[in-house]
Amino acid sequence: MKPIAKIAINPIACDGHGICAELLPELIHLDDWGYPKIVHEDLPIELLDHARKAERLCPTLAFLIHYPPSSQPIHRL
Amino acid sequence: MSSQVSSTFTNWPGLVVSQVQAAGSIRVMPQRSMSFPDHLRAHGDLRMPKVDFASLVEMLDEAGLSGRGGAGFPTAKKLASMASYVGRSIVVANGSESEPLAHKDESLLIHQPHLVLEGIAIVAGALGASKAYLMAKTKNQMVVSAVEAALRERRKLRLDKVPVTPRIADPGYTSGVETSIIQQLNGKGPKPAYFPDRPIATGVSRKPTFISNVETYATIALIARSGPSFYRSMGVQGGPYGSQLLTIVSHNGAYIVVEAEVGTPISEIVNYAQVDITAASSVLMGGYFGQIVQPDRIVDLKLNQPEMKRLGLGVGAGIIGFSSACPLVEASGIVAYLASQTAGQCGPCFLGLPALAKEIGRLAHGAAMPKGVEEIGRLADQIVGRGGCAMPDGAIIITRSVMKNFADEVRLHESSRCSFSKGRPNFSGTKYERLRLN
Ligand code: SF4
Ligand code: SF4
Repeated sequence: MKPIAKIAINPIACDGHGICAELLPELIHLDDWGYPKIVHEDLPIELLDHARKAERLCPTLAFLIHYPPSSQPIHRL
Repeated sequence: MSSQVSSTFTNWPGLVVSQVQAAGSIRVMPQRSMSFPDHLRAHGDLRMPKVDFASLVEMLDEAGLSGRGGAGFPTAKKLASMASYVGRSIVVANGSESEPLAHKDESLLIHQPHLVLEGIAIVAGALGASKAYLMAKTKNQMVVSAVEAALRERRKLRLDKVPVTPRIADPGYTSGVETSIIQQLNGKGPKPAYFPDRPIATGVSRKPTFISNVETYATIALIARSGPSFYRSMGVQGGPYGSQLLTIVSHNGAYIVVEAEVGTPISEIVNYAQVDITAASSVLMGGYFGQIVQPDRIVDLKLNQPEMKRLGLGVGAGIIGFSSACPLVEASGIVAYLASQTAGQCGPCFLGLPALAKEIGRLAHGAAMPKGVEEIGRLADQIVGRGGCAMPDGAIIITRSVMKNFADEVRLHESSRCSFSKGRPNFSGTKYERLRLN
């Protein structure tokens, strides 16, 4: 699994809806209070679609994908 | 006084100008406010040193100055990161000093407002800034009067090319966080915000913003006047160099602010606060981002950040506090205070810290812990690194330090015993009085 980007969460914006953790259980766990805790920040290509879905569905725009400058996918939804 | 004293420190015009208390490589901060003529008498006739951006970066690099707000980042590097923003930036001096035990920034602003304002003028001039702000500590009328008087003098003499706007920081612990300062200056209230970029490209008025501690600005003014080689001639050979302000808080809540030459033994410095190290049960090194340690850990310590860091210690924003109370009670007081200061934005902070405060409070006061003492470590592991600002990390560092450094005491408390029955908590919820020296 080759990482193509890094995931991040803006903790100030996050409301703990947990959608990101549901979509990416491999990378994100929920803490005692239902807030997402990133356990692996490297995003493998296999999970890119799920991550983009999380980015779209996160109600507070708190879930972020940071692509390295050269690999920015052209068709970002 | 000590073999450490370098003759250069005696000649250093200093963050503290005082004939009375000068002793060895330590000077006690007076409460006297210096006027502009006083400032020139102490620091030399030059009305306003001027330095361009490249020379300022070079000068600070040569001096080896690191930021005095607590993080200790090299100032030259921080300034150099602003290179592409020269001509369109905002300069902020942070004197909000929200650490309850810290008094050095307010003392400096009362004693030498001109030195701080001069440092701001130098940095603002070098950056070609359009505006500068000075954030002063809340609830201290002496700071406000000193800064306002100094600004009036400077306006009359047209000393500052870049206008400086003084502001009083909002109360509360997290109001001292840099991103909160920016929010306050933008009229958005004191909650810290998420600015992932460093340097902050869209800060105050959406402009690139350079923000540093007031002591850092004052030291920049001194370096610009005396030259970086003077600064380097003080301190430890090979670095770290210079001098630093410290707040020493004794067991009984009395504090004193001193300027000490880097490398000075901590035991000599705390002497001035009339602290008997052997009578203390614990020492708070570095304030609420620091460690609670056994007094014997600091006996042979010197004021030398890299060396202290190797031992897992530091003075943060220049804070050393002493207590004769139970260290677990002290830690639980700090964690409870920090929990009360949450800006209510991040779950791990506003939900995690009260949970942690409850558990460590149970341990401190010998109450039953249904989930065992391990619960404290488990909660700490969940919270650390997960706030939008670093405030929750302070609570975790304090918690971990006391659990590790006082492991025997933790075991005693598990069976509802405590070896420190006497003594009022001193690190939180106390009003600190300035120590009166005769
Ligand atoms: S989906 Fe967004 S709001 Fe919900 S937990 Fe994840 S980051 Fe937080
Ligand atoms: S960690 Fe706490 S204090 Fe810091 S921004 Fe989040 S809620 Fe506010």
